[in-house]
Amino acid sequence: MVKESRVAPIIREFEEGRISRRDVFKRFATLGAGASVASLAMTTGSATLFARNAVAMQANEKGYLTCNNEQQATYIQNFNPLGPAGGSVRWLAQFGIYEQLFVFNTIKNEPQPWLATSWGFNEDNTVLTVKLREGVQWNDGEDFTADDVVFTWKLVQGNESLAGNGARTALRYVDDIVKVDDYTVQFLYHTVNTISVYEVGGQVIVPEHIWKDVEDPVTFANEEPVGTGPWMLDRFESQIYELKANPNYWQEGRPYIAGLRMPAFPSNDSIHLAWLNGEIDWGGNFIPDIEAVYVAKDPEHFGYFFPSTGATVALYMNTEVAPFDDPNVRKAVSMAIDREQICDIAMYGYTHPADTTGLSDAFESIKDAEAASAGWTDYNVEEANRLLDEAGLEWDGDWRVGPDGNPLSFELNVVSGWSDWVQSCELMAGHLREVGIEAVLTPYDYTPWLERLNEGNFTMTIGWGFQGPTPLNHFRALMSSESYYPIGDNRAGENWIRFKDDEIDRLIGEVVATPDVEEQNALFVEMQKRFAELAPCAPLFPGPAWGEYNTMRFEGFPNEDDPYSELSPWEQELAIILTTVYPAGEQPDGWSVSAPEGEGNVPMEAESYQASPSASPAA
Amino acid sequence: MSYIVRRLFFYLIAAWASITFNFFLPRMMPGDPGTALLAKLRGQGDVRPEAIEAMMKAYGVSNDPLIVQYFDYLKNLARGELGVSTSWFPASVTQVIGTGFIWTVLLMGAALLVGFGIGSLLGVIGAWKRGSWMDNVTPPVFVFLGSLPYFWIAPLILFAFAFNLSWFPARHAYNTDLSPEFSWAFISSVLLHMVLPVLSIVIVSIGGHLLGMRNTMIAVLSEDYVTMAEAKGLDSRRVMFRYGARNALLPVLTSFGMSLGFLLSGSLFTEMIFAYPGMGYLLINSVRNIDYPLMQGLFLMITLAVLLANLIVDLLYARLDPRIRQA
Repeated sequence: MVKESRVAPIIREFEEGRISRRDVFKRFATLGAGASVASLAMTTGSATLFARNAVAMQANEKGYLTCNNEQQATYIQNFNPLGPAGGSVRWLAQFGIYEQLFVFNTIKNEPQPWLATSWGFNEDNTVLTVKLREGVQWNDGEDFTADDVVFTWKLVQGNESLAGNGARTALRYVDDIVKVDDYTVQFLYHTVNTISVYEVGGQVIVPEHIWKDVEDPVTFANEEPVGTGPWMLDRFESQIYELKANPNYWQEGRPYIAGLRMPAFPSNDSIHLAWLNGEIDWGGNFIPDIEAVYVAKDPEHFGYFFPSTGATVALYMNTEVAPFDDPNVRKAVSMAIDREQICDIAMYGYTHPADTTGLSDAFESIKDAEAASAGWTDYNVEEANRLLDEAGLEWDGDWRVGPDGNPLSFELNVVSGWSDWVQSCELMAGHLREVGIEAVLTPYDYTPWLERLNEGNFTMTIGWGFQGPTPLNHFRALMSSESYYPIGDNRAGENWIRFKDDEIDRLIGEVVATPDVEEQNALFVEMQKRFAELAPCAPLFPGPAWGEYNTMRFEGFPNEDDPYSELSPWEQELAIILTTVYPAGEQPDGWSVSAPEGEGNVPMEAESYQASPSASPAA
Repeated sequence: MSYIVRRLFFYLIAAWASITFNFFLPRMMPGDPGTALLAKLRGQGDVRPEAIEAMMKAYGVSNDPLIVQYFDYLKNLARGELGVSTSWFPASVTQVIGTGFIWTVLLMGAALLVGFGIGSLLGVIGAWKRGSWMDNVTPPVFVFLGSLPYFWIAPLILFAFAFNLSWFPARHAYNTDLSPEFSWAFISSVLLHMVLPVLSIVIVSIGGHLLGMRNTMIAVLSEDYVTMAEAKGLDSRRVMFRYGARNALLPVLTSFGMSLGFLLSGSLFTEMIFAYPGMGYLLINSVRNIDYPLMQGLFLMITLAVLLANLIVDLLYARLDPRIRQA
């Protein structure tokens, strides 16, 4: 056990400015038995924090960055980045060990070259040409070439059960993938779909020379992964695994840190405790009242970045159930909701009310001001009551009644235990009472809740939104015949509300037929106007992209002051973050945010592709 | 001999019944693996129903009539195959259970032995010295502690001894900088990490063991043969343990056997609060994800463990109590 008397002088020396913070840690480390150093957490002021952090510093001799992404009690060694969806693949198999062609940066709303330097469609948008980066090697020394890209895509194409992370979606429009030369690949489209370029870019690539011998890529656990990425497997145990830096990584000099460690945490509480203890360097956890709970413990080092760029959480009403088949009733319900109150109370002020486009802040630059201010997401009880009166829903005592004379009383479904949603629904039930609609809060377990939504067996529910690199996902999910299935058909995994609109279908058809971002954005504005007019649902608030950091040991994380990307470990831009951060106080010469060279999206010449009729299954 | 044969036959029937229940019970839950799968894909946005079907196939989720599935299940079981876990795909159920099994046995075994040992000892002494200050204090104190909700007292222990005082590690089964090996550094780390979780379980379970032992002990102590033993002038410790405790142990052994079997189900709260690996978390996770194979595998282990523990208790009974052998 370390005596306080041996620690106090070190802290005193620091406070008198005679030694640096790093020296404090080093000397703490030499005292041994870190856990007991932390017993000094009871002493005062800054000393407390240093003592506390010395524990974490010492627990991590290799200088690895500790992060948390998966909530698990034990890990299974599986690094198959293509495996079937819903399987249990370890975090960082995608975007860490295996890399994608380009990285979509949510904050900048643009793709950034990665394994590909440039890409683009030909004149009639039937061929997507991708130029690959030269000089990239797999971490076993083999060269990365076009063969690997073609192999990966063909593997997913030939294996219905492989999910991939983009290829599966894009393959609905792609006939064939061909190698032009060692560093050029072409994707031949039977159905023009320019938006799918993002899915092509996001798909991670696996090495042909290893995977060609894999018997069944679906059940392959890939325990010793060989990738192009900055990380390689160091050690794997059921309660922790570690990745070390790839010494021959193609972005020279990067990554700046020695490795990553991922201890298992089975619950939020155990993660929170570790955050407060300063043991975690980077993660994306929900922490209630973060300023007081986390940041205040060490404002100098503890920080967070919660941009409201996540998909929009909404109140969904089944549009095939009266009276919610009437857009004015949906608008009235929406106006009855005090979103400010929900954001303040249920969301701890982490986000702000949604607007009448339903799009999150990720699309701020392409939002149409007029469509966004249609008014029906403003809190306006009077107007809500007027619209309901107009719709013929008369008051009868405390509640309104429908044309059939029954009071307007509906279940409001929510996932039990999702406290932010449950609280939002409790508040909404109160708001709706003001306009004579009784919303009976009805929590279900996750799976039965989702089952009801997919089948259309609900009237009102809170739910997540749908978001991708472009607003297409949002409108396609909520308003198109592509996602529509009638009530009772459980394939409606997105269009729970059973809503479709011919105009939206037409606009989607146009948007996927042009590679020009300006043109696409103009069409997205049309869709926003349609959304504002029809109000298919009542958007509540854009979801915050959770991300916290601790600069005690590592610096260079994105934040409010330097928003070079999201801080969230859930998005593909984590590839940028992990090749940008560096050990605290050791900023490399000429340090910059990771941005591999490349021209990006440019038109590419290629002969038009004519799909043979038999080879083009209906999309 | 016939007693043992009869018992074995009974346990065989019980095993078959539990294996059958094991198959049908999970399937009576609301929800199905396909929806659970879909649920896990939230946020990945663009999953088409066709993809789900292909995945179901890969996962071996079958649409055959239940009875056909049941016989397939029995067949596989006979071959020792528990199948592939759908929530941990492509890992097999055996592999998944393997990540938690040893830690649960270690943690719960230690907690049970310590709790039973201390509880019974206190019960024996309390009954022997009825009315002494110890007998007046220990039962109420431990019954009070035992009635405290575990989810309240365990975080309290964690906060006091791991966070504030930092005497013990706050989480995990061993220091994450070490790797499992046969060395003192590793073993001591495992022991150190067990202290708080074991303590938290022991504190709430001691009361039950204590009362059980004390009550039967009191009944036994009023028997003539105990008075006889005392009258013979035997050493009081000998009378207490050989004459009293040994006979009082019989009914207590039954409850011990039960807990021995149930220890495999792990302790979800302990694992969550102390971030300790184990089967409790696997169990709740398999239920959440409607992972039939994993659920079956876990329930099977638990039921078989209960049966096995009871069988052992039955055999021990025969050994401890000669009357049973003749019955």
